[in-house]
Amino acid sequence: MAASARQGERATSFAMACNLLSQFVRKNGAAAVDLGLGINKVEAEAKTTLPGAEEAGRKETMELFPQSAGLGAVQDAAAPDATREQEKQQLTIFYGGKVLVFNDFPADKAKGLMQLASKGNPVVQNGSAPAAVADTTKVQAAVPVLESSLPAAQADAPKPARANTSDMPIARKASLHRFLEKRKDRLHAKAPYQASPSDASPVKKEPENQAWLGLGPNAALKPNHGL
Amino acid sequence: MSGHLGRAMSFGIPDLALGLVLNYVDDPWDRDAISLVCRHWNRFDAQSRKHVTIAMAYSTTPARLLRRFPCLESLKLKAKPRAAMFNLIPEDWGGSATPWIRELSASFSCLKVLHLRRMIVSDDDIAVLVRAKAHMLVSLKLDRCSGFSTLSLALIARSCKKLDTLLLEESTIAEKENDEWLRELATSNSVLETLNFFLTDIYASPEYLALLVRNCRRLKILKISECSMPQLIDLFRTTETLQEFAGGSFEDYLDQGGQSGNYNNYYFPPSIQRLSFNYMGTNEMQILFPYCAALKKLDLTFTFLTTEDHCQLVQRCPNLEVLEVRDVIGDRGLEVVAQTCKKLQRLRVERGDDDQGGLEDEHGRVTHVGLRAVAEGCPDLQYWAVHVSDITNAALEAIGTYSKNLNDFRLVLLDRQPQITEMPLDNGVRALLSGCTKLQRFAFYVRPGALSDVGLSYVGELSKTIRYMLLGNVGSSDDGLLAFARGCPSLQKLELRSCCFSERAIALAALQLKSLRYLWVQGYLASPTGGELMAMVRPFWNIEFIAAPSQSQPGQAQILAYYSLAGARTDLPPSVIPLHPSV
Repeated sequence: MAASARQGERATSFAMACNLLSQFVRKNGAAAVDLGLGINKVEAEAKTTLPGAEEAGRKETMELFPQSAGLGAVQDAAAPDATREQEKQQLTIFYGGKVLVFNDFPADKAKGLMQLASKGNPVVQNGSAPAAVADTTKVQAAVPVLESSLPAAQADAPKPARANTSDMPIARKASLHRFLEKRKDRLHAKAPYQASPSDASPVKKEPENQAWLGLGPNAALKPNHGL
Repeated sequence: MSGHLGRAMSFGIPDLALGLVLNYVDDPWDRDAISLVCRHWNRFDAQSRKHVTIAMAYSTTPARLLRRFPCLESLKLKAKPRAAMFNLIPEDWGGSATPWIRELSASFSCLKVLHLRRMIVSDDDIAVLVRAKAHMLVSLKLDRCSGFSTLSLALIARSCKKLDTLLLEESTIAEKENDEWLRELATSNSVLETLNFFLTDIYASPEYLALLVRNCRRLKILKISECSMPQLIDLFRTTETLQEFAGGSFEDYLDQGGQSGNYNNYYFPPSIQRLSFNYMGTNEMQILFPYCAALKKLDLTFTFLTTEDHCQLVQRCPNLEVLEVRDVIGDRGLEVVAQTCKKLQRLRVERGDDDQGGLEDEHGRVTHVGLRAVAEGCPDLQYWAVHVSDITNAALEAIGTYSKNLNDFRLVLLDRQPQITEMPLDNGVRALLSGCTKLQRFAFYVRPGALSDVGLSYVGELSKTIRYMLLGNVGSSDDGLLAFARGCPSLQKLELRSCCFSERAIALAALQLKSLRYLWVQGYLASPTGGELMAMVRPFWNIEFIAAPSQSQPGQAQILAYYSLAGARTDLPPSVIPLHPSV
C-alpha cells in the first residue's frame, strides 16, 4: 500500500533521490550502504565533480540528483537507473458517444496516437481521429476493457436516469446550525409578534459622531433589514 | 539525538552529517522517503522525527506509535469521521482518547505538544496526562472533543506552567464551578500565548478575562465564548501583544438603549490583525473601521450583517488574507472582495439561512457571477470553500484559468433554486481541474444531473495530485464511479454522499483507487445484507457499517472503511457493525 501511494503523488526531488537510494540498496544489498557510494578514495583522485562520477561506471555510482528532477512524472525520474521497460498506462478514448478503455497501453504508442490525432483538423468529421482508432486496434490487438455509451441526454435539460438513493438534505455544519438557531431565538425573544423584520424600528442616525470617522453624511445606515 | 547512533557511516556519509541535514527535513513525505531507504536511515528517522499526525486513530495502536517514534515531541490524533462536524455520526460511535493518553503518559518522554481532534476525552484522561506531563506540556489542543469538564481545565491551569497554547475550540465541555478555571489560568500562568475556547458554551466573566490579559503579557490569540462586548472594552486597552480576537457577543441595540451606542469607546491595540465578533450588527460594524486597513483576517460568519454591510466593511480592508462569511455577502459583496482584497489567500463562504421569510438579506446569494469575480480578482487564493445557489461552466473555467494557486477548493451547490443556469458542469470541472495544478483537496457537492458519468471520469483523469475528495450527488450510474476510480492516483481519503452508486461499484472503486486508505459513504444503493461490500475485503482493510437511525431512513446508513494495522476495533457500539474483520 505504501509503495503505491508513492507512485501517484508528486514527489519532491529529495524524495525521488531517496527513492533511488532505496532501490540501490535493494539491488546491491545492505553491504552497499556501508561500503559507501562512489566516493571512495580511488575515484576521488581521478574525478572531482559529481557529474564526473557518472563515468566511473553505473555499477558503483549513481546519479543522486537526476537533472530531470522536478515536477514531471515520478516514473520518468526513476527511469535512468530503473529498468528499461516500456511505461504502460491506461488509455481512455471518448469518441462519437462511445468510451473505449485499454489497459496497459504502451507510452510510445500513446504518444504516436496523440500526435496523429492533433495533426488532423478537429472540425473535419472523417479526419485522422477514426484512423487513429483503427491504428490502435491494429497495433495493440488489445480488447477494450470497457465500452459504454455516453448518456444521450447530455445536451438536453437532464432528467437523470438514475435510481436516486434518497432525498438527502445537504447537511449543515453544527456550528452554523447553532448560530442560526440562536439568531432565531433572539428575534423571537425581541419581538415574538413581529410580522416581518422590516417592522423593526430604524436606527438613530448620528451624523455628528460619525464625522470624525470620515464616513460623511452618506454613511450607509439604512434601517436594519437584515435583522 | 544523533549522538547515540555512534560514529557510523552510511553511503559514505557520517551519521553526524546525516543528522545535521535531516534536522532541516520536516515535510512528512520527505521523511517517509528517508525512512524507506535502508534500516539505518529508518532508525535515524525514527529517533529524530519530531511530529506525527495520525489521521485515523484506529489505523494503528499506541504501542506501534511508541515502537516507531519513541522520541516524538508532537502528536496530532483524529478519530471521528469528518461527518461528525455535521451531526451525522452517532454519539456513541467511538474515538476515545483513553488508550492513547495512557501510553503517551507512560512513555514518550519528549512529548510536549498534543492535539486531539474529534475525540472523546474524559476528566480521568486529562488527570492521567497532567500527572505525567504537566512539567513538559507546552501545547494542548482538545479540538471538537467532548467528555470533559471545566474541572480538568482548572487542573491544567494549575499544573501546566509552561503551557503557551490551550485550544478547546468547539468542544463540548461540562460546566462546573463557573469560570474558576479561568481565574486559575490567569493567576498560575504567565507564558500563555494562545487561549481559544471559541464556539464553546462555557462561561467566562469579563473580570477573569481582563485578569488573564493583564497577567499573560505574551498573549497573542484570545478566542472566547460569548461574553458581552461592552464589558470587554477595558480588556483591549491593557494588551499590547494581542493579534487575534474572536467571540464575544453584541447585545441588541433595542435592549441596551443608549449604553451600547457608545461605539467610540471600542479600542483595539495596533498589534491586532484578526477579528471575529458574534452577533455584530450594522450599528456595531463601525467599531472596526479604524482597524480595517491593518486587518489580515476577518470572520463575519456569526454576524448579523447585511449584504450592503459586507460591501461597506470589505471595501475598507485591502490587506485581508483570510475572509470568512456566510453567503449573505452575495455576488455584490464578492465583487467588492475581488476589487479590494488582492492579497486574499483563504476565502470561505458558508451556507446561510434557507428561510426566505426575510431573515437573510434578499441580495444574499452567491452565484457564478461572484465566483468569476473572485477568481479574476484574487489570484493568490489557496483555500476556497463556497456555497453557491447557481453556477455555470464558465465560472468553473474562470477558476481554472485564474486561480492557479488553489490547493483546496470546495463547492456546494445549494438546493435553493429549482433550476440551475447550466447543467451539466462537466466541461467546467474539467477546465478547473486542468488549470488548478496544485490542487490537493477538492469537494464537489452538487445535485443529480450536475455532473454526468463523463464528468466524473474527467475528475478521475485530471486529479493527479488530489489527496482528499468529497463528492455529493455526482454521476448517474456505476460506470461513472468506476471510470473515476481508474484515475485519482494520489487519492487517499474519499467521502461520497447522496450518490446513486451500488455497493458493488463502491467496493470495486475502493479496490481500484491506488492510494486510497480511507473511505466514507452515506447515501448509496444498499443491498439488504451489505453483502456486496465484501467485494472489497482485503488484508488490513477495516470495513464498518453504521446502521441507519431507523428503518424508515435506509438511505442514511454509512460505510466507513480504512486501512488499519490494529485489526478490528474493540470498542464498537451497537450502532456500528464490523463487516471485516468481523469480530
